[in-house]
Amino acid sequence: MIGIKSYAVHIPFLRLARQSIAQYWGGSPAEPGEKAVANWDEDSVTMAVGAGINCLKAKSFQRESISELFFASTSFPYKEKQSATIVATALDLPRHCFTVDCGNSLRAGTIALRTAWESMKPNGSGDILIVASDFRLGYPGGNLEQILGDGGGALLIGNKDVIASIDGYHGVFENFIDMWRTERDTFVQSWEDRFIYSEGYLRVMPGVIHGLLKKYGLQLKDFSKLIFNAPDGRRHAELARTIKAPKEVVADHLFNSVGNTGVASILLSLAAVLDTASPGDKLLLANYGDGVDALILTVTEEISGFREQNRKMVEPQLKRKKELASYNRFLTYRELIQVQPSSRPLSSYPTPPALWRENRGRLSMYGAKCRECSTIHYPARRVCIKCKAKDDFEEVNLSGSLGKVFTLSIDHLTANVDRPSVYVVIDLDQGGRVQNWLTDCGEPEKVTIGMPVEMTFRREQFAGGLYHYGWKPRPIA
Amino acid sequence: MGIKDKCAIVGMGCTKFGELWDKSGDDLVVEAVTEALEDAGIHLKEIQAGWIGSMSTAWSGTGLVYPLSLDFIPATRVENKCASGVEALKEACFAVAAGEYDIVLAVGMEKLKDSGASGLFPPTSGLPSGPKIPLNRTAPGSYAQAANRYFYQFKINPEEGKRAMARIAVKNHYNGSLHPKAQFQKEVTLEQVMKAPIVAWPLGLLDCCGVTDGAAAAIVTRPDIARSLKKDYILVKGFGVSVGASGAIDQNYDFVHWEETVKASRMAYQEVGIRDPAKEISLAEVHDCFTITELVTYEDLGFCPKGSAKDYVEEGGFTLKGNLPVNTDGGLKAFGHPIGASGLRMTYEIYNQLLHKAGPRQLKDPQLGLVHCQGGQPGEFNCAVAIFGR
Repeated sequence: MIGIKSYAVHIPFLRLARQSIAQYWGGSPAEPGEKAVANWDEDSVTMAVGAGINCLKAKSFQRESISELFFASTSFPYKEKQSATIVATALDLPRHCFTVDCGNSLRAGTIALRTAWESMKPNGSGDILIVASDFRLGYPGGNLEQILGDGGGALLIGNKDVIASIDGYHGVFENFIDMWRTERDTFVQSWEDRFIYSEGYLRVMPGVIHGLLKKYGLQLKDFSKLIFNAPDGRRHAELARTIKAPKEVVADHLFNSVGNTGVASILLSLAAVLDTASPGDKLLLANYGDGVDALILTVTEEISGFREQNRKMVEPQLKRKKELASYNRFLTYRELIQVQPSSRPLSSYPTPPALWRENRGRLSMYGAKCRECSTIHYPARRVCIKCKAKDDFEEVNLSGSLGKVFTLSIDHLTANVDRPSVYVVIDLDQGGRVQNWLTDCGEPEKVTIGMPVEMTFRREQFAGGLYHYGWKPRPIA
Repeated sequence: MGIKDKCAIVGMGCTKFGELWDKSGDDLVVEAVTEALEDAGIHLKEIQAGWIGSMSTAWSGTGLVYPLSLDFIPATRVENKCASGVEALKEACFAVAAGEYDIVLAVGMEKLKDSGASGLFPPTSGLPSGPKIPLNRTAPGSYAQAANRYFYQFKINPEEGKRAMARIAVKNHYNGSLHPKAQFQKEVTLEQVMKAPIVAWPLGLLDCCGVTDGAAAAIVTRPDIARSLKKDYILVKGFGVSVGASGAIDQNYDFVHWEETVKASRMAYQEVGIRDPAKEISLAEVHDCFTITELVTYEDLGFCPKGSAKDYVEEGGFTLKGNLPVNTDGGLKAFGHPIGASGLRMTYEIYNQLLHKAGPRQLKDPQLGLVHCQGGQPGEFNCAVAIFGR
């Protein structure tokens, strides 16, 4: 049986109330609620890693069994240079893992899902990890700016121990211009909405959903939940009315709490459904973008065991949040306004040869444990700081390590985007010490010596024409 | 063996410290060296070799040879962060003690204010940031980590701890007000320091030293030559240097005692034969880039027991009238901190005090003076200590 073995999401810590945006421009919110906003040090790669970690954690990090990685997004940091390799390195996936960037369409997540389903052999070994994230911008002052949110989702696909089986697929492509970004666009472009909804979303989606039902001889009432993406909440409701779906079976789009997260949107909704699903539940998944992918999933008995071992994926992350101080902060984080640069000189940045040498240290977060005295070093050293043994270390992955604040300062002078920033020294519980900036920190004044933290993968800077990533501590929820 | 009494400083010079917009780094070298040569009563042509301490301004020995047109002498740039000045002096002394040269020059110079930045500019070695060096780290941010841990470990109420630190700023500004070459020649009140804008709690603006242009120079020779030149000179009694680089990754590193200072000072004490530094040392010029630095340094130099510096500060023991005056010229705090120049500027004050030329700051009959320079930040220090006497 081929299906989903594990699932997870990454919802950024920060939120922006739609009211704050509307208030700034003068008007009323385009939709109720708030949207999740990537922190200044997050992007599609880091959110994909965040979701991927949560997904693997739920299965006790069986990294070595992963044979393929699909990274689905429309907002990769690089146009040329694969982003899945950054994710694979951060997740420390095995070297033979087949890595794919799946992009350019809001269907990218379900395209990856179908491809994984098709390529999974019933008796083959190796699981497939799908990570999806998006990080799209609407024009300041426009409706899309309010509607679009940031986030990521992940699915682990395998052929045994599945919590939901994949039982069918039906889809079409449609060359239809409703929303797009060319190489020149920072913001999502869209055509006049009467046309794009009546001839696009609201015509093509019902057609494919009916096609799926017909193909498998099913009716809407056979499904416990209908999960579909949508441009916004209004069209989501209109689609439900069009196909005559009862309200209670239509899954939450999470637009009011997270926003429309693009490629990740359908995975976030699916995760929320799986959080409360029961064995035997039949799910219909329909994902729109340059056509439609529609899939049938059936929840298995395995869901009970999975839930015993893991807490819910979506709800805790919805609760763990901080309201951005202002709309201006959002514009600053996305570099949509130019702010007074720091009068501090910026740090230097590593060059490609240095980055390559430091892949395992910097991106996979491997430290070195002395075989003589067990002292853990991060970054790794050639000579032990304690017993001076030379080149006698074993590698230890520290990215999953928890830790505690040993000391800290709140720095108002740093050239970081966020000022003040909390600068911490962390003692890792398994041994080792790291010094870095604390991210996703609610109130700097409340950080204390002894506070527990975990490590999270973040974008450190854009410098020398390159994105630089690394691990930072953040408070444990 | 050792360096004790093998070298004499027969002349010293120091420029005015400050934001010297109208002077280049080369100008500063010329001015400091000119004063030192006049003081020693020798001509530039008599200089046989030279060392220039500079972290990021002078590049190579040409930083010394070019401004002075000292072409073809042996000249070397010395760099050990904020300890570069003492290191230049140490190299000069070692060369003289080894018998290689008779009369040499040690210069420290830094021209920080041309950078346009309000802090130090990063080293030119292109060290990558990342796990080794957190991006956009600042000096006050790093030292504030030490202060916060210090308060935590010794159970000091943070407000009281900040007040003790503020007293150090008040003391150093008072001392600086008595020196015509200091960057800040004005007193500050305890309340001003306490209420200054916070840079990185508990460090406020007035807990931080200045960003400064300046240079200082010393003429080093053998004691027998010194005697033939003039009657007032000082003798080098001892050096100690210690470099640490693992505190940031070592769970045993406590942030509140700085082993580099302990090690460097003990090396120097042993060379001089000092058993009780608090009693035997007459005055000290210590690295006070931030007030917390001076507070912790009192303890690590052995001037008072660990965790007790706050009480000693409150008793006034380190003021001009105290038992062990520290930073009698205002220190980095008020005199200013042109990185590579600071070690020689500190030596300049010890020189003037030992030779009774310190004017309104003059102490009564000082015998031994200590210089303490410290580069880096908690977890990774380059510390150099030098002790001088008559």
